[in-house]
Amino acid sequence: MRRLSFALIALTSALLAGCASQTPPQATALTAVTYAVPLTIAAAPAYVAADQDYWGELGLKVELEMYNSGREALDVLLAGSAQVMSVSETPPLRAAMGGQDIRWIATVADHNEAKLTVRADRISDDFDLSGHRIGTVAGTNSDYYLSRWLDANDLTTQDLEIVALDPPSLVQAFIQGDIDAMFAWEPHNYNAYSELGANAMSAPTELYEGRHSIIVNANFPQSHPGEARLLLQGLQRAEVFISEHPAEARAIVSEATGMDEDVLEQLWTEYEFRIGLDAGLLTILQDEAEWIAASEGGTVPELISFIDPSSLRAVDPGLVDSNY
Amino acid sequence: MRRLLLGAVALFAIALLWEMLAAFRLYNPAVLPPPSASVFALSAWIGDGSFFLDVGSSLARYGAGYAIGAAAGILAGALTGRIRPVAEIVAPPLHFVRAIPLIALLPLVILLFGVDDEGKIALIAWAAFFPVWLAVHTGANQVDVDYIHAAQMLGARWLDLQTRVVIPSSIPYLLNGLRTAVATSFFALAAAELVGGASGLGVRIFRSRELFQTDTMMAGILVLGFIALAADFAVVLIARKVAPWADRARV
Repeated sequence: MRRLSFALIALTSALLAGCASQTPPQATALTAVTYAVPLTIAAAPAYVAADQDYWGELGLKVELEMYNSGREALDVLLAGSAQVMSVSETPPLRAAMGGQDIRWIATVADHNEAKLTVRADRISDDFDLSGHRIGTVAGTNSDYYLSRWLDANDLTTQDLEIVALDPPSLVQAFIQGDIDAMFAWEPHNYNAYSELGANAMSAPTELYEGRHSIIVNANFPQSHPGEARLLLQGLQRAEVFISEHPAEARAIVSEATGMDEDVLEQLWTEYEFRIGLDAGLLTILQDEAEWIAASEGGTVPELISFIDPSSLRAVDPGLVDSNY
Repeated sequence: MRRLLLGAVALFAIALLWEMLAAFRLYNPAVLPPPSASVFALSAWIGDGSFFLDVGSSLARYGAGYAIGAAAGILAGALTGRIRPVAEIVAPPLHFVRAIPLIALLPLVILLFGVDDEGKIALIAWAAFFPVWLAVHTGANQVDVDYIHAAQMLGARWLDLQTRVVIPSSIPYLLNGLRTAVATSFFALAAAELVGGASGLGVRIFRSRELFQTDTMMAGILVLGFIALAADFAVVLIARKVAPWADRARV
């Protein structure tokens, strides 16, 4: 019994020590802002700002930490190990609706990267999915796009077989023919094209446009207003660079993500890099929140409370829509 | 009984401590929900009917994979353990491939078997095979030569030697191998269901994480842990019944 007591005391100490380091950031001076960023084209402004040392020039030390997915980067923010992260809107919206105290302080890219890609040998160019086996990644913006597609085409989940897979398995299953179509984002669609050539085709994307969002813990804009403003200023400079030097920007993204520059050139048009908080964000969040509430239960909260425009307003009030 | 009680007390104490840490918000409970949240999530999971579907799917994959892997392991172990030329040819490549982490095999498994159950069962069978093969190989290889000589002096023929000396001497090793395979097969089950699918405990755990349903995710992890623990106890109990003299598997 004594050994058990010692073990429990040791466990308590270890947990308390561990938790102390996991506690969300308080209003203390930061030596550096940790920015958790996923490997995605949409995060180009962050890669460029770091590469061109825009934050350093503004007097802000930013440590860019790369993660395989936005979901992983979001976990890092929630655990208190990063002050800032960026990702498309769906994961943070789920987190916020689940009670996480986080805020959107800006969006840096509008994108059409979520697409329906079908095997031409299974599905004709009318993209009729009924009776087919369709792959998706549960909970992501491509999953949301799937629901929009079904609604727009008067289909229900009963009309087709949906297979939820992780992203790499989704592409592999598509290429092998285990699934007939997939709702995925880049570079997964492009990878499928690379392997299947003319046997893969994508439907025009009109039903969904995503936003690469800058997310912070709720207290960050107030506890560190200077850092939040400088962070956004650095991203703003990066977007000017992307606009004026797209080839150089693609080279930076290529180095950061490992994606081929030729691939990036073909996909580049699917992204519009512009910092802001426009009314469209709220519309997208509202639509997705209704989808989440309908599919998993719950109610749609007051979404405007998830958005904190103060930092971006301090950079340039013209970048913030009057709705906020 | 005392050990069981101590184990239960330790588990309860850990749960209580965890609950308190969450209640006082010493960490972010939405990232790692306390046990009470997992209990509520488990209740909702059972209530919506998907719990039994998930458990059933996982157990079906697990049972099939474990049975195939263990059977193949016993056969291969008996062959390599008793027939030296077979061991010299087969054992080196088996030792090479058994060192490859399961998760690294996932893309290959999908390539060979697709994303459906066949691939998941194959991965579990792979994970079950090696501990059983190695244990049976070692057991069959290390039969005390004095026993063999004594049996031969008493007139035992080849078949008698196998059934009365070699197999009984190998059983403790086999049981240890089967027990180790219980755990390695659960590792494989979780890895296999990471890929996705319609149902399964691993599928539920990883999907809940994606959907920010961390309470359900924790409930899934705990259920998987309890099932693995129950399976381990079952093997220990069977071992004690089948071969009481070989009580090496005791915890």
